[in-house]
Amino acid sequence: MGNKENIFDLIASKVSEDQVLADNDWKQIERKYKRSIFFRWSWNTMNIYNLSVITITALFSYLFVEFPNLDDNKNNDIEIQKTTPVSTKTLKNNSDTTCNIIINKTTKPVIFQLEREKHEKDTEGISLKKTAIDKPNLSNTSGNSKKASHSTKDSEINEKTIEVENQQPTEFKPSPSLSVEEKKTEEVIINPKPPVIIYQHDTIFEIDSMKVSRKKMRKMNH
Amino acid sequence: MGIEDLISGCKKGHNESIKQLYVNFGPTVKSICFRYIKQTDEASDTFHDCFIKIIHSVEKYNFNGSFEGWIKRVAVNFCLDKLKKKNVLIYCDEFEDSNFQIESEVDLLEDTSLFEEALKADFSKEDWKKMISKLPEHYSIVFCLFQIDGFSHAEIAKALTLDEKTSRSRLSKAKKKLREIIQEEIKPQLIEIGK
Repeated sequence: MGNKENIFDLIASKVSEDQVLADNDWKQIERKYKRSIFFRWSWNTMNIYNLSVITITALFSYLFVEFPNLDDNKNNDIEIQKTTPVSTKTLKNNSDTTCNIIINKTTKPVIFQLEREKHEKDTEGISLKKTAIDKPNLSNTSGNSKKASHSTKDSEINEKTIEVENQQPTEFKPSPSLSVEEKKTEEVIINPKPPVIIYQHDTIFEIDSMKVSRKKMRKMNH
Repeated sequence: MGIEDLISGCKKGHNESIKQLYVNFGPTVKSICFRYIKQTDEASDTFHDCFIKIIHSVEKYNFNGSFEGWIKRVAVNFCLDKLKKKNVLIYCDEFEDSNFQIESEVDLLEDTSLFEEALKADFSKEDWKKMISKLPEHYSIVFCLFQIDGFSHAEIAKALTLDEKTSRSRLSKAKKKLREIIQEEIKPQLIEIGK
């Protein structure tokens, strides 16, 4: 760009000036960055727990839909605990690994219990038990997985099971273990909500994969 | 905070360093995104995503070349990827591109008088941007890559999956068209100033 008397160099010098940042730009980047970190982190979790990408993504999409302000808080919004600290190898070989996801910055703290289940030979899913807690002891939720696990059982007042299907939603068939879970939850549901909607990439889909729950909710709505 | 500390802090995920990175280089990245992505909302989204990409990729920077140059490259490539996904860059012109005469001496002479008139007209940054935006997108992208962001034709060809000849041809066509646009804009501007 040596020639100064070139109209195009003049344009370049004018146009390449830096853009002024808007006040909310950083906030938006920070929010997206945190979410992005969260998903990256969940990718690692996925590897540890041997869950599929679609399942874990759907799960966290669900969490963000359920708690839209989740990533606005600066402190630990979400804490993931393994209920049983075992080696990765053991986890991979263990079909019913569970972990707790604790949302502790909401108006009503909630524990999600993530449970990995093998349905059939090639399909694997997770079930998610959502548990609101009466008297949360938030200080106990960090670093002590055993305590948190017990408190979940003691203080359940509302429970809902969400099955997020892995890989091929249309071919999903509830496993016998899911049926047992369904019976359990049917007894404890107090205030059923409309079917959960998950936003993933550009697709919006209902969690229809848990056919049992969907039917159940429709019945109750009628 | 020095640039090395900044990079090191970003690699470790320190929020302060990341914010500093944003304060130092955000305006440049934003400017690039708004240059390549025409629609304002989409450009704004691209800026956010692009910056996140930079934050995540900062560990790949190997201190080879300037950090700002590296950031600019990441940003430009990010925008081009975005455009590729939208198929903006796929364009087929039956006259493109091999028979087009690359810039002639007449064009370059015209440039000098146009340059003087443009100085008198004293266009603002926004005026220039508007004029560039009047170019067909596949021309304006090559123009911006070559003239503003300093890509070579070989680099443009690689980035846009073109051959170099096509890149040169598009640049020439872009310049020719831009001259016409400038001339159209200069007259009313000079009359306005004369008043």
